Amino acid sequence: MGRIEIEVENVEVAYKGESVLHIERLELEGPGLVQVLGPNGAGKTTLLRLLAGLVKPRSGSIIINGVNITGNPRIAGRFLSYVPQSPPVGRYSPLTAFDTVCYSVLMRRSWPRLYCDSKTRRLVEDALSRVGVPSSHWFKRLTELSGGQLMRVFIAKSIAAGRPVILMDEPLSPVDPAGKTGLAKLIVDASKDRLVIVTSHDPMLLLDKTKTLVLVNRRVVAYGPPSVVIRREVLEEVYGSAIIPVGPSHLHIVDSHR
Amino acid sequence: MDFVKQKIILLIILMFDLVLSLFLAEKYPARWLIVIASSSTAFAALSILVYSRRLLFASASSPHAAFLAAGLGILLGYGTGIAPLAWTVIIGLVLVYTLGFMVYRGVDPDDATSLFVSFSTSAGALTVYYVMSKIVSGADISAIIIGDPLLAGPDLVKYSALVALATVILTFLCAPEIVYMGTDPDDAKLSGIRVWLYDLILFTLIGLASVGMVTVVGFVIEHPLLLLPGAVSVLSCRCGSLWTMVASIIIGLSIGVVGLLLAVLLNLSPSGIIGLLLVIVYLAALAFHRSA
Repeated sequence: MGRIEIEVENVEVAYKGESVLHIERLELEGPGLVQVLGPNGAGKTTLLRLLAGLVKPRSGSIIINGVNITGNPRIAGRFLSYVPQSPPVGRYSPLTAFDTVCYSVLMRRSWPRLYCDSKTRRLVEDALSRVGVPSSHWFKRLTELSGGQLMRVFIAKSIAAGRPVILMDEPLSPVDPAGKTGLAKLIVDASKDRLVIVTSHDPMLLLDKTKTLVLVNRRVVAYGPPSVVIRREVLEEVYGSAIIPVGPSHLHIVDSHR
Repeated sequence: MDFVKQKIILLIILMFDLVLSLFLAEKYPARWLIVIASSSTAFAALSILVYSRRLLFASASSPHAAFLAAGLGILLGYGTGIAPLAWTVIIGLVLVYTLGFMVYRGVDPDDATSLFVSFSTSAGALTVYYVMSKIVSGADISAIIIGDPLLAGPDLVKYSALVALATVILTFLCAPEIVYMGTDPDDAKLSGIRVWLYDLILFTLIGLASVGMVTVVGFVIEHPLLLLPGAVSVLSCRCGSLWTMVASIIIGLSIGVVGLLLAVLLNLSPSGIIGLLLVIVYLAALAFHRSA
């Protein structure tokens, strides 16, 4: 999908007058995998929503490949798709897994978007197969899927959307331990030809494939290759007393998804 | 049960509806059938959209808007000489848009519903009491509350048929967007569709149906009509979203015509019978869903 660049400059996001995220400068480049780390409430989700244009900052700008997308999801959507932390599926939603991916493709086409034609069907089948959703689950309602399967469907949706950037908010959190490895591999595969930005509380599964690590705690504390960013003083600034030294060369971070 | 069998069952039910409709139109005034079939179809089409877009608060509130609008419509119609239905629809739409705007601007749907329902029922009671004591008969007022399709005049017949047709057409044309907006609102914005426009269309349809047809089914029975057909179709239909929508409409239409027949035969309130039938079918669908 080619090279992609995201530049964030002098951005401040505030809720009810209180600053929740400040970014002096952040540059991300793809293809590759970017992990965003930080404790609960650090602003990881806000950062992703900011990059997607879903949050309008008080000041500053977000530029993707030279196009200003600040606070404008319609323009940002030309470059990226977004997988939310907990896909908000209503109890009586009529959508099946297949419909969801199909509609995601149709929404990016012109109106009327009445049905899934044969070309789109193949695209949907390919995306669902690629993320490992068994065909027996394709026509199940979203409400009948497990948390892990639902996350896979939403990832399939973002792959089928065909955008060069995918933002994923804690994609590994709703998945059982056995499923995490498979999903991690899927994320790594997707990052081979795209810029994939994931937030996480547990970076280890993806660490050796991570191109850039972004550490946030209400501001971008540090970003760069993992070997440069993972330093005791930086981690202490982000996690504070949640860092426990285990032996001379190992740090344990007490952090979990809430 | 596979998709093909479900589609065959739906087609058989639709054929049954058509036969029963022909019988009713032959034996009783056709306008009774038209207003009941139209309102049942329109509400059933909206029901599945309301669930998909998670606008249950709107389905709970719009009948109350209809109650107030119908009372004010009679009052203004009497004062201005313009048809009360026209006033009712205009006022009702303004009320429904106000509710939608409040939620769109970030007011919590529960808070907006509490405020809106409290206001519209209180103001509606005041208006209806005044109208009943000064202007019209009790029969006109009871039609607003419990509905009476047998009182429907030519204007209401035409209006109901038109709203039902527009609702069904727009439901199918806009359903993918509306359903998707309810499932993944963030991606809907990123995909470039105009979320506000589809919400406006949906609120308009809810307003036109619930306000304009209030004297057909009554504002009380509008609640189950907006709430239950969609829930029944999602619980009982194991097919894609398009066919679930079709199922919702066929279920709503079937209950409407069967309810009308029973009401005429037993000399009972049509909307009351339709409401009860919906509850029975909903409970059966729930039992089926749990056993499946």
